[in-house]
Amino acid sequence: MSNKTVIPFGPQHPVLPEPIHLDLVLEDEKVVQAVPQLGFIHRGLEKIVEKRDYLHFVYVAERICGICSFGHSLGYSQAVEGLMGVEVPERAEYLRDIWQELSRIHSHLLWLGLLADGFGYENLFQQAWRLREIVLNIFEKTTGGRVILSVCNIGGVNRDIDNDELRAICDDLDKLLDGYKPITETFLDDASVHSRLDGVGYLSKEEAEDLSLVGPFGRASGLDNDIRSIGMGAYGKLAAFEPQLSNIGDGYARTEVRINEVVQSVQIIKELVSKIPDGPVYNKPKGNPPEGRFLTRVEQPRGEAVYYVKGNGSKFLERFRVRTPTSQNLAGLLKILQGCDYADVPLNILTIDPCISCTER
Amino acid sequence: MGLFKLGGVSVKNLFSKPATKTYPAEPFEPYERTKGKIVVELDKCIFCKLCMRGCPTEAIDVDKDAKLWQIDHFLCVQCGDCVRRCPKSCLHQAGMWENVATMRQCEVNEFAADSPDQLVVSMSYGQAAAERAQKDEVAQKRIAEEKARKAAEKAAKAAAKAAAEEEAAKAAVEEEAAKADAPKAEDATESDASAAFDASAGAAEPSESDAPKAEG
Ligand code: SF4
Ligand code: SF4
Repeated sequence: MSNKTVIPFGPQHPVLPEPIHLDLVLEDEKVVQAVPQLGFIHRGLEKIVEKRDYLHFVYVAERICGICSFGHSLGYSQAVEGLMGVEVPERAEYLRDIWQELSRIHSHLLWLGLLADGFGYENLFQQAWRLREIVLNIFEKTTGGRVILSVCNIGGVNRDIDNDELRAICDDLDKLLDGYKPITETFLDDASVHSRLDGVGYLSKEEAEDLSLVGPFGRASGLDNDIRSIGMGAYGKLAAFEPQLSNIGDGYARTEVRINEVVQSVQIIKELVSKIPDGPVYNKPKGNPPEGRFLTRVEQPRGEAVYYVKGNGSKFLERFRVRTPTSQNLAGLLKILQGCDYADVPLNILTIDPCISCTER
Repeated sequence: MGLFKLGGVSVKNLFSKPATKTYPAEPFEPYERTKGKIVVELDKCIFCKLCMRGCPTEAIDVDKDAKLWQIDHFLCVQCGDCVRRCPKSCLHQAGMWENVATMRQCEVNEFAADSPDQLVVSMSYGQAAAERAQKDEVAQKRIAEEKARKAAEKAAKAAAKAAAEEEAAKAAVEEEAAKADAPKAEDATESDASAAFDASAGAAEPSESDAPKAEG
C-alpha cells in the first residue's frame, strides 16, 4: 500500500490569476482527491445591496468580475427590470447582446492565451492577447471604458451606438477573424498542442449532467446547456441558434468549443447589426422596486449565471444573489482532478476557465 | 496535424512593428467617448445639485450659496451618471487620466471672491478632511511645543553638566601642571572631549524618544 501525500496548491500559483487553494491528496504521482478552500477574495458585494440605491447598485454589480463585467450589470438590470416591470426598448436589447457577445469574444481570447501560457506556448499566448486588444478598443470606442463599461442600466443602456459605428465594428471583427485563423489552426491541429490537451480531464456526459455543469465546460461533454437558445432579449430574434457542442469531453474539446464560440459570436453580432431597429435606448424606471422576487439568467462567457433580487418597496433591495458559473463548475473541477497526474493539475484547472472573483463576490 | 503551425506568423512578426505603444513616449489618443476626469463648466452650472444627488460614490459636493462645485477625483468611479443627469450639460469626461490629482484632496471650482466672473480652480481638503487637518494642526503644534520644552530642559542640564566637568577637568589639569609632566596633559584633553560627546548624546537621545509619547 502506498503512502498518501498532501500537497498544497495555490492560492498563489503561476496558472492562477486569482486565488483558490486546493489540498491535493497524492498517491505516488496520481491525485486521488482534491479539497478546495475558498474565500480569499470575498468582498461582500451582495450585502451592499441593502444600503445602496437600486439604481446605483448596477455599478457595484458590474464590479463583481473584471472579465464578464458587462454580463453582471446585464443580469442585475434584467432582474430589477423584471421585478419592476420596466419595458426595455428593443434597440437597447440588441445593443446589450452585441456588447455581451463582444465580452464573450474577449473572454475566450483571454482564456486561449492563458491556456497557451499554461502549457508553455508563449508565442501563441501573445497572439491571442493581441487579438483581444481589438475587442477592448471596440469597447473603449463605444462605451468609454475597456474593462468596466458602465453602459448597462436599469431600463436600457446608457449610450447608443450609431449605425455607421456598428458597421465599423463588423469590419473590425472581420479583421479579428483574419488574425484568428492561424491561431485556430495552431490550437486545433498543432501536434504539440494535441499532445498536451488530448485526454486531459475527461468527463462523460452523464457526469456532467449529474454535476449540472454550465458553460463550455459542460458543452464540451455534450451537455446542451446554452441559455441563449431559450431566446431571451435579442437572441430570440436570431434566425437560428445552434449551441456549440462536442462529445469528446476532454481539454481539447473544451478548447474546440470555445474556439468555435468566438466565430459564432462574430456571426451573431453581424446578424444583430443587420437587424437592429431604430429607436430609443433608455426607458427611465419610475418609483421604487415593489415587494416581490425575481429570478433571471444570463449566458456568461463561462456559462449560465443566475440573478435573484428581492424587493421590499423601498429604494433599497432586500436581497441580491448571484450564482456564478464557476461556483457550479468547481464540482466538475474536483471530479476531473481525481485520478489525474500531478503534472496535469494546472492544465486541468485552466480548462474549466475558473473565475474566482465571480465565485466569491 | 503538424508542428510549427504558427511559423508563418512568427516570421512575419519578426519584421513588423510592435503591437503595443511605448507610452508615454508615444502619446495616447483617447477616443471621443473615452472616460476620464470629470470637468465642469462652472459659468453654465445652475447649482441644482442633481449631479451631487445622483453620484453613487458621493464624490461631488455642490454649495449653492457659495457658488462652489467640488469633486474628489479619487472617489469618482467614472460611471458618468453626473454627466447624464446634468440639465445644463455642463459636465464632461475629459477623456484622459493623467494628473487627475496628486493627493487625496478635492478639486474646488468656484468664482473669485473679488471678481465674480473669474473662475478659480484649487485643490483643498473637503469638509471632513478640513476638520481632520485642523485637529492635526493643533496636535502638531502641541507636539512641537512639548519637544522644544524638553529639548531646552536637556540643553540646560547638559550645559550645567559640561560646565561642571570642565571645571573638574581644569582642576585636574592644574593639578597635573603642578606635577609638570607633558604626556599627562594629553590625557586631560581626551577626557574633555569625551565629556562633550556625552553631553551632546544626552541632549539628542530624549528628544527622539519623546516624539511618540507626545503624539499618543
Ligand atoms: S462619474 Fe459617477 S462617480 Fe464620478 S463624479 Fe460622476 S456620478 Fe460620481
Ligand atoms: S447637475 Fe449640472 S447644473 Fe446641476 S449642479 Fe451639477 S453641474 Fe451644476
